[in-house]
Amino acid sequence: MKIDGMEYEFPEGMNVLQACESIGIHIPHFCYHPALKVVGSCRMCKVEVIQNERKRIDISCNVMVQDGLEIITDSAPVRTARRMTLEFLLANHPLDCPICDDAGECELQNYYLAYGRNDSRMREVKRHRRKATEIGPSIMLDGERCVLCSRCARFVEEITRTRELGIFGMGSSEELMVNPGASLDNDYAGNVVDLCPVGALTDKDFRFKRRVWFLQSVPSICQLCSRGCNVRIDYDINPFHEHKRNINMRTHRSEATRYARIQRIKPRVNSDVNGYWICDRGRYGYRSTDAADRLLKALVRGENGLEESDVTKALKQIASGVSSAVGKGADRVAIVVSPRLTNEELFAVHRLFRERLDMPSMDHRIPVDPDWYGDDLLRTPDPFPNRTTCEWLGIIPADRGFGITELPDAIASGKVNTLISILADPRDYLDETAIRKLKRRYYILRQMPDDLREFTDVALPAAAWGEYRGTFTNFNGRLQRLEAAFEPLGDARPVWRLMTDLAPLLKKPLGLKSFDDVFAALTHKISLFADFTWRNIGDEGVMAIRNRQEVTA
Amino acid sequence: MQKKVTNITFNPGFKENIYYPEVFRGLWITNRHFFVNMWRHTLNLFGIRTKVRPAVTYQYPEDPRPAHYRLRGRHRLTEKQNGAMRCTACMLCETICPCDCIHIVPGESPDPHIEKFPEEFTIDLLRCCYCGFCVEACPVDAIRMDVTRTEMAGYTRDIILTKELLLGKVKAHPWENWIAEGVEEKAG
Repeated sequence: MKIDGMEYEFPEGMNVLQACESIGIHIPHFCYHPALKVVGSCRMCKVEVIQNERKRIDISCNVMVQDGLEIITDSAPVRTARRMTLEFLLANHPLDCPICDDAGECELQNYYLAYGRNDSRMREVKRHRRKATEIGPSIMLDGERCVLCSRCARFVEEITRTRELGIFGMGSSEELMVNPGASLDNDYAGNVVDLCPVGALTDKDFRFKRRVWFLQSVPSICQLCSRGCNVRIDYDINPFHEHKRNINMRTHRSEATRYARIQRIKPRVNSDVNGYWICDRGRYGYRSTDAADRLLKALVRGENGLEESDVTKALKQIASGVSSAVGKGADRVAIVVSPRLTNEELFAVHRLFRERLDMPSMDHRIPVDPDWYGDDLLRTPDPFPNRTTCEWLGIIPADRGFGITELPDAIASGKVNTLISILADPRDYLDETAIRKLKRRYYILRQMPDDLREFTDVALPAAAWGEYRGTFTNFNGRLQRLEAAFEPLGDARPVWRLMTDLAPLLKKPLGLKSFDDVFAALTHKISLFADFTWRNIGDEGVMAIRNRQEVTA
Repeated sequence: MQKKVTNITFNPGFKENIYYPEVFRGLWITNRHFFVNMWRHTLNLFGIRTKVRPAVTYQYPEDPRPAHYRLRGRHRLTEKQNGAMRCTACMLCETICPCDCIHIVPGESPDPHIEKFPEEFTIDLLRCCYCGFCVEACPVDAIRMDVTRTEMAGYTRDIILTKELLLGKVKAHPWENWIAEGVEEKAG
């Protein structure tokens, strides 16, 4: 078939809009979404279709590709048709762009600049609707801004199958609303905001927080379950906000979300992992990065309780404690590693404590929060993003070693007197009497709850999500990349850096200087990663297991 | 340690003495200005040659100099007729500001008819370059730069105008009150 005078071939079953997008011609549209059914309600994607020597203007989302079809995507009649459609859509639009959160990424604005550019000819009074209506715990609806594309209604109908939203009324009184008595509170409700091409559905969490043109973004991977959904971190580092946030974090021990650096999380499209969606847990689970209880300085127990110190001094204290414990047997030190660490961090921990120091008691199997649940769309039953690599590296107790389940007995009988807990709160797997009985309690933590301070001897600050680069391996064995959005707060640094700094103090240098060194050493260590470099992982990740099957076959 | 003192004796010779004619030349210029201005003022008094403007001395600050009507002075936030702020916190001024001196914290308005309003609106005057882009960018005529407000001196290095100052609820500087009182006394 022909598009704009050029011959192309497309597979059967594709519609003209998809075909045009696949060759890089953008067709304006509101209601069409590749993951949802076609309804053809917005009439914006009009193109000229020449079929059997006859010319007509038709919506491209509803015309299937076929032999002998000729499409003209940009001509005077097409532009006129689009402009007229847009004029009808804008007839009742409130034009409150200055206070609309979607301004800047609004399709109506973009298409108006591309096709409309006409003054309003509306003589009648604009139809008024409910503004700023709460339709769920996280979503606000503005009925006036809605263009009735029904993407959100189709989403709750087809993807989540919860059916909270519907379009009610007929003609000009048509209106999007939640079903009577319902509330848009499913686990994927936040996706309707991404679906909405205009500012009708906005995120209560992002409401009025920042205009979108101030945001910078960086691709990352969600760390809240083992699926590893591809997300985009939208952040804003403004000196004024930094200053305010520092004041907030010093004065209130509460969540400093208003001045947080991460402003919101948006999904990235990856058809092999998460499609177009992310769950609300991942969407609103970014607050820990800028939480007020972030550990910013190393803490060392001195004569007057815990004191802030510099990281080198704290590392020296850990090194002397560990070497004196190891002097009486390497199994006296228990190391608990959270599967929240990146591959590189896990690798550095493993290389130092298992390969160099040969410590048998090392485990990653932290009990899973009983409130956590998986579902059949995206959420997996495992809330840790990187358990696969823990298993591949072998972060499990060796012979004579103690796992997490045996740890309380081992502590009670005095076989273990030193605990190194990396990104894991020890109270998750030990009771308080056991922690009290330990002689040396060393933690590497991102957040330091106040009630953990009495159980701490040394605590080192670790970089939080968004502050480090790295890779995660998801439950399918897919290796995916995280990029750092900003610098770590305070003295915090990634765990692999703490390990490379700790190793020379234990007289076992790792020989790793930079992140690239760690990544290269990791790909040598795990044979499944042998073919991968930082660059060829790409933004969408690569399957490590399929790679192995090809190698072994 | 005793300080070393050197006495230099200065004997003006012919080269130095020839500055006396320059003194008289300076006096001549001063006098010329005086009489020319006097002459022009006198002519203006009778409505002759009004296009040539004679020099004037203003008794600043009691008697401020008349400013051009397009002068961009200190910022002011305007109010609606019911006293509510016009500003909707759309952040366009913050976006356009070339010196990053405007900072707005938007929030949900307590008034049910208004959705968004600025909880904080601060202008760092020492960063401001008075380009007036904020006034042009504003879609609701909420920020203006007044011709009359030109006194912006301060005793510290943080002349930061808050929302209350910009709305005129609080005077910007303590000496503004003093100036206002002085003017009233003079008028009364």
